[in-house]
Amino acid sequence: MATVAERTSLLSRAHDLELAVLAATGERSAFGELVRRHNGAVRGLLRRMGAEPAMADDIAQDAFLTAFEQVAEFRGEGTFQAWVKKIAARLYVRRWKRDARMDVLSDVDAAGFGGEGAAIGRIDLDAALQDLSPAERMCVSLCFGAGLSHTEAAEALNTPLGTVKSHVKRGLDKLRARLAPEQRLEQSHG
Amino acid sequence: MAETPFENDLAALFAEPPPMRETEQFAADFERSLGRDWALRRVLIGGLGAIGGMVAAGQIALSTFSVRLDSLVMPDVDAVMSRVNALTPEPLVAAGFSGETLLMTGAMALAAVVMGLARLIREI
Repeated sequence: MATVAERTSLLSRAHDLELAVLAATGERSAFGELVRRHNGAVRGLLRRMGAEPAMADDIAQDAFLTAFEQVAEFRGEGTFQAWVKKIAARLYVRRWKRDARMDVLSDVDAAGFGGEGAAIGRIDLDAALQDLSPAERMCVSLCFGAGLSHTEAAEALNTPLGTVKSHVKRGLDKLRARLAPEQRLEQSHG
Repeated sequence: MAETPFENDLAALFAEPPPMRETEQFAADFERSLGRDWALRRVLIGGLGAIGGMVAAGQIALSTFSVRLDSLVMPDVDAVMSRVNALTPEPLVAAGFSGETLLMTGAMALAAVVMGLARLIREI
């Protein structure tokens, strides 16, 4: 029988899909390894979507719990991280709706969101996202961070598809204006 | 989702998680909480199973299981049951428990212990 150290070492070398298969058989330590690998990305996405740190951690915890309960359904078509991010994003949207913040979605002229405190001139997605309105930030994060299509985002937000597309476009325009002058995105692409 | 070079780059930026502190602590807290939920669930399932088992045992006892069994294959079931009845403590007999009930309960308790041990060994 493998010792705890050997077991931990084996788990740390296993692929996400192998860990997910083990977790589906009830192996909690395998799922723990997945949480260890991906919690930073999931919590980071939630913060980028606008969640406060404590709320982001809370929702990430719920998302991983949901993922554990449904891990048998994970077939490895995408990455495990992307799968959990979608779960987390939907949970956050649900919380967002519950907190009655949905009205900002219809407010196309929503004011900036915390832009004052952003690190000006620094190429930093997190800072750039601060310039977006909550609705734009939510829609852009859902589509580019959580990987939802416009239609999926509209369904999750229970909002017309056109509204989501409009927020995404406006958000992208702001991000482009903020990030493009530094030429970093274009350089990395070219 | 991403259609233009800028959108591709944006998706790539999103894919890079921001530096997040306490990832180990978060994972440890999650595992602890999962273990707690799991233990609670196991106790609940075990408790419900025990209640169900007792109801089943009672039903089998009331259906004069041993008499039917006796008529089917085992000629000396009567002898076994009379021994079990003789071993049944008086207070239990007075309370309406037959030796048959005790025999079934004992068998189920033994099965539960074996399953518990198997689970324990697997956990270790």
